Amino acid sequence: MSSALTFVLVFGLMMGAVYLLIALGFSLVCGVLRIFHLGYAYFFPLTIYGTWLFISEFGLPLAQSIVAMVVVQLVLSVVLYKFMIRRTMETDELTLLTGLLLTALIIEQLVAWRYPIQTGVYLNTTIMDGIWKFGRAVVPKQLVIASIVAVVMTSLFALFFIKTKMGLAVRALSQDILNSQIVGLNVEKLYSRTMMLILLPVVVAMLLIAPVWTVEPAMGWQYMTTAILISVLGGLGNIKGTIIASFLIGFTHSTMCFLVQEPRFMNLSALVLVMVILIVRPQGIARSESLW
Amino acid sequence: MRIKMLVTCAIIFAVIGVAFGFAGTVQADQKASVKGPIVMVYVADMASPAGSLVFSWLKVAAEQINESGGILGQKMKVIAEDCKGQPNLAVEAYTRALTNHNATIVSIYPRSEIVLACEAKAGEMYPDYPHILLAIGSASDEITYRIVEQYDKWKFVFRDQITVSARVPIYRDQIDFFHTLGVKKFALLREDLTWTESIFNAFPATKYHPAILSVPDYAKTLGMEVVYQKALKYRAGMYSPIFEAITASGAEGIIFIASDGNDTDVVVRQWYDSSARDLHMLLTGATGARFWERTGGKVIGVIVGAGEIMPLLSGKYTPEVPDVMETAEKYGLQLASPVLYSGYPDMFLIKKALIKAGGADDINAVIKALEETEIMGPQGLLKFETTRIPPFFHGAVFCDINDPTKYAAQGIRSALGQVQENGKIVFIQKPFEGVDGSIDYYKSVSELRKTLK
Repeated sequence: MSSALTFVLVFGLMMGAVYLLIALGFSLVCGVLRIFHLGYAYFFPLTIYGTWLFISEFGLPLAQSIVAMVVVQLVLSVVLYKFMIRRTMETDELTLLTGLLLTALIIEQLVAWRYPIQTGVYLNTTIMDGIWKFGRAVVPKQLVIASIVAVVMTSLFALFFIKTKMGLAVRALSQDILNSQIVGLNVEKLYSRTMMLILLPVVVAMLLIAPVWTVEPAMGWQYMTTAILISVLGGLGNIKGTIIASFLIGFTHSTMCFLVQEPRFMNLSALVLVMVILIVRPQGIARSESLW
Repeated sequence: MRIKMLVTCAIIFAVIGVAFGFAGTVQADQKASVKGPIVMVYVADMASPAGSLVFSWLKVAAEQINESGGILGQKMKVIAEDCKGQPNLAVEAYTRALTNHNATIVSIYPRSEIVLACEAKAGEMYPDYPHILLAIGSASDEITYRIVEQYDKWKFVFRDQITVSARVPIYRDQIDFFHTLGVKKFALLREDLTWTESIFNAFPATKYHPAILSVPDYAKTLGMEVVYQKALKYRAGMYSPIFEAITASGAEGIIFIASDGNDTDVVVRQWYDSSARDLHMLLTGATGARFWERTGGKVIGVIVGAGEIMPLLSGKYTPEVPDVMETAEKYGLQLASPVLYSGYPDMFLIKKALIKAGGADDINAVIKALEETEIMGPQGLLKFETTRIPPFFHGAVFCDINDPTKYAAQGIRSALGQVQENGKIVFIQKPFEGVDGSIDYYKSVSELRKTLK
């Protein structure tokens, strides 16, 4: 029993940290742009397969391929913002949601066409190979590193929003667009930058977990579902709530895995948890009107 | 004048008549000497990777057959009909195959429920559209029942896959192998799909054979114990907790029974980074193409089944079927295990049977020829069972019908290999004479892992 609890604790922390990276971007886009970014699912496959494209088709080394992939993602984010989100977010939300969803589906289909599963895509982004033991719990070193990176990155994000001028501006924007415009904030620029900013945690998360977790063209939906659950549970757009919700889901998952010994209940248990909390607290764990 | 006109008209009609009649004869003669192609319609979910891949291999096989002279001078043509994985669309596609494409052979890949739906439709249409139904890769026992019960109505149905029931010898072989390695306790994992249920349950006795022990019970007869067993969700994505539980159970080895399409690359990656990483690991099937690359080499040390091994034995041991590795390279095709038991070798069996039947005109002769023809394919001996015993009749021969725990013919399907340095697969069993394989070549996972850069 004590062994199982050790596993629950260690894996709960690790899973929670990784989920945090996966959900942080979604939560931010909900908080700042106030849209339900259904296109978020494309970030995941584009990170892996975009990098792979530059490695396999252009012969670039891994590091340069990652940089090239990030540039592609940034450009795509700006294009999406300028030509789809900006034009429709105020007037036609349904068209916007459909457009974002279609974007994700198109990218998934393109990836599945060019790199079907049997192509053998594998990114060797392993930082440390092997396992570590924490008490009786055995964990892949790569996941421990991913967890540490997740915590550091989230802290930097929090500091950015609390301590920097731009962070303050984004927070103001997330609370009241009209008044932000009145006081002279460049809303377009902030939106555009936020679209680029939300990429970072997803890219880092995918690169770190790719050697251990699932990599396939349709993986985006699975990860986006986790991101949506966490964001809704935490209070849409609130970073504090996202942090708490990530670890709650992480511990729920690890409890199902190691205490109940049934990984297939992972998703079910998370859904039940979200539903129960929303019944008790419909706005989610934290206030959803503010970013922090 | 009138008579003259009549004679002139008669001559004109006669000339025209002779001319057309002659032309008609020429056309008839041409039709007799230059027949259209023998059409195979392939019904599958073309959006799925395996569905389109199998089609590519069928087309290449037809091309190779045509290049080598076709079938008694007739070309083969393969046409795809997309059923999007839905039985109702598959039935529509099946109907089009017969009415629009005039198909001699309709092949369906791979889901048994789709085959069963089409089989019913095919029975209705067969009297007006005599043809062959070839189920590719379908394992359900039910496909056979109709053929046994009403042979005259369903005699045109064949399937290239071994039935679920016929897999018993494979699993026994694997347990025997663990036993030889000295394993006393092992974990048994299976994907939670219907076809794997029989692994956990005993087969009741039938009038053809006595009851067959389940895998755990069979292990007991060898003094071994299944200390952990679990049915895992298909493409579960998360296996780390399972491996930790297996380690805690004291297991010395793991057998994971999965099918193509499962995320066994994720299984291997998480096994590699778990406390179970030094246990013997045996994956049955499901590894497929570029598995070494897909796992970043983490598959090193894993025991793999026929899916990985078939290509290695192709060519040299299959004189009637071209080498699949060379073919894959020449035509730029993916080399995944589904194509090796699905479609590609079937085409050469069909070719042989059609030649034996004198062409595709007489379907009864084709059916008889299919029942009598055999070739050595990349999966081993390929022939159809002709004893009317469910669930084996008209399916690929594999196990002894009087004792399904034994192979009818030792072949490549039963071979085991181990992934060693740089992804090389080494035979740790001898599948048949002429192949260098021995348990002495087996190396421990921890030893092999040291070679991984």
